[in-house]
Amino acid sequence: MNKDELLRELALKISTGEINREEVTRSLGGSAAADLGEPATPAPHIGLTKWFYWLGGIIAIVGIILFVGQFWDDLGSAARIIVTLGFGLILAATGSMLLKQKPNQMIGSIFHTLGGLLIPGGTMVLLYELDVDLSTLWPITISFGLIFVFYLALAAAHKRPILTFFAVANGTTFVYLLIESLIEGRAYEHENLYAYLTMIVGITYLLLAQQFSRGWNKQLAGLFNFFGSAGFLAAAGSRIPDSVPWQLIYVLFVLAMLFWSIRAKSRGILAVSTIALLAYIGFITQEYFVDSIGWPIALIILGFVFIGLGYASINISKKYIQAAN
Amino acid sequence: MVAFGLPVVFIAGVVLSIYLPGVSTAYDFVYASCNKSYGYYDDVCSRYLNNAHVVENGKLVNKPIDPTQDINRNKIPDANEFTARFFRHDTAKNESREITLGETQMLNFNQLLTSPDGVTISSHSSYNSGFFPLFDGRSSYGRSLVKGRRSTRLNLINGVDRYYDPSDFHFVGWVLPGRN
Repeated sequence: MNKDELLRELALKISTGEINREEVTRSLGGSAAADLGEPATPAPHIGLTKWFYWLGGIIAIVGIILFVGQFWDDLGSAARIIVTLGFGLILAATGSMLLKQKPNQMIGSIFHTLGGLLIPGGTMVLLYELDVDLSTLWPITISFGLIFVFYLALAAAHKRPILTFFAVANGTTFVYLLIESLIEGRAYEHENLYAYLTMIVGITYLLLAQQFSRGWNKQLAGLFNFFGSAGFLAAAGSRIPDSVPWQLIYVLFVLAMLFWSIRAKSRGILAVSTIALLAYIGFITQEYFVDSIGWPIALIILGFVFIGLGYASINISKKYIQAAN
Repeated sequence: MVAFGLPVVFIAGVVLSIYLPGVSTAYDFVYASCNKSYGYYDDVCSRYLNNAHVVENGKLVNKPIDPTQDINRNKIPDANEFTARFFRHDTAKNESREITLGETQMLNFNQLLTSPDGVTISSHSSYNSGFFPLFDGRSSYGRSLVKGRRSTRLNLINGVDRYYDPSDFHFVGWVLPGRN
């Protein structure tokens, strides 16, 4: 490997997040800032070119939707499929080609983003136009299963966070649809089942975020930490109003999540856990203490508790999360 | 892999709870409900049905109702206020079908709450599939076939407010003979 190849390879790894500048300079025995001649705490920025890529992509997709919307009623089945699913697949294929040819540029990911937004809807158009029996959810479920596998394969091939994002998003949709298809028409307590499923999905996201924080999906870790903790605590919280066991267990879940925020060094989890704890204390106060102490006193106590929790949360963030980041 | 394993285990649990054999019986049963209900925890209908229709010597018998009887004291005589509706529940398909009073009176009934093969109908305040713990986050009412520790939820025809009113279900009896 000559010098140019070595530098190109290094640039690719840095652009995909597999390795960062600090790790490179640390391995060379110097401080990142000093050796690279950058400020001590460089402000995160996105290049102007990238902004134009994203802006152009959004404008293009809005234009396409408006344009196709104008003629939708006049289009035949084949044309409808082509302008939705067909176009989505073309964008995805173009994105893949660009990722191969210009691995250091964002343009491939932009094309994949547009494709990823079109493909699920395009698949629904395909099912509708092919007159598939949609009296059950199974055709839609299977379609999302296939889209999930498609994006999983793309993510494995290209190792790009945007493809992982679409794989997980479509995978999550697939899991919910699969459960609904399985229990459709059966005597299940759907609300209970979906609360449990959302808790499972939340934990799955948190575990994925943990995994992502060490590799090329690093940019997704924060997002999945936030949605994972929010999904888990919201679903668990929905069980509280009518169940004393859940009222006892929930506080343990929130505390566990607070500890997890420190372990994962995630401000997203910390914020969600703090809000959940505030909501929990508010609920318990209203449920059990308002009748005995009255609303005015309860509000005073709640106010100070909220201030205390907010202060503790900020301190945890400063001491354990910001310092570590 | 652990992350992806969790949803897979959850889905496997749902599939197991669907396809594992539940409680079955070779006997259908008949139940009655009223044409109207007073909603939450109201037992007026149940008391009316207990007075008006009873099983004697294996047959459903209509008992004369005092024309002035007014259990809920709303100044409407019960005989004018309530009409019993009868349903035969096919336990093999877990589905109910309304039948007429005449059809009900032609059937033979077991005199007991328990079927000849040892199955009883029990009310429950939530559905526990046996797989997921703490499934009673929200209360709801229904009835299940019960044998020992196992139970299978019944899909009964829901009358007005049946969801909230467990008393709006009057068990008439197990239909004899069974399917076997």
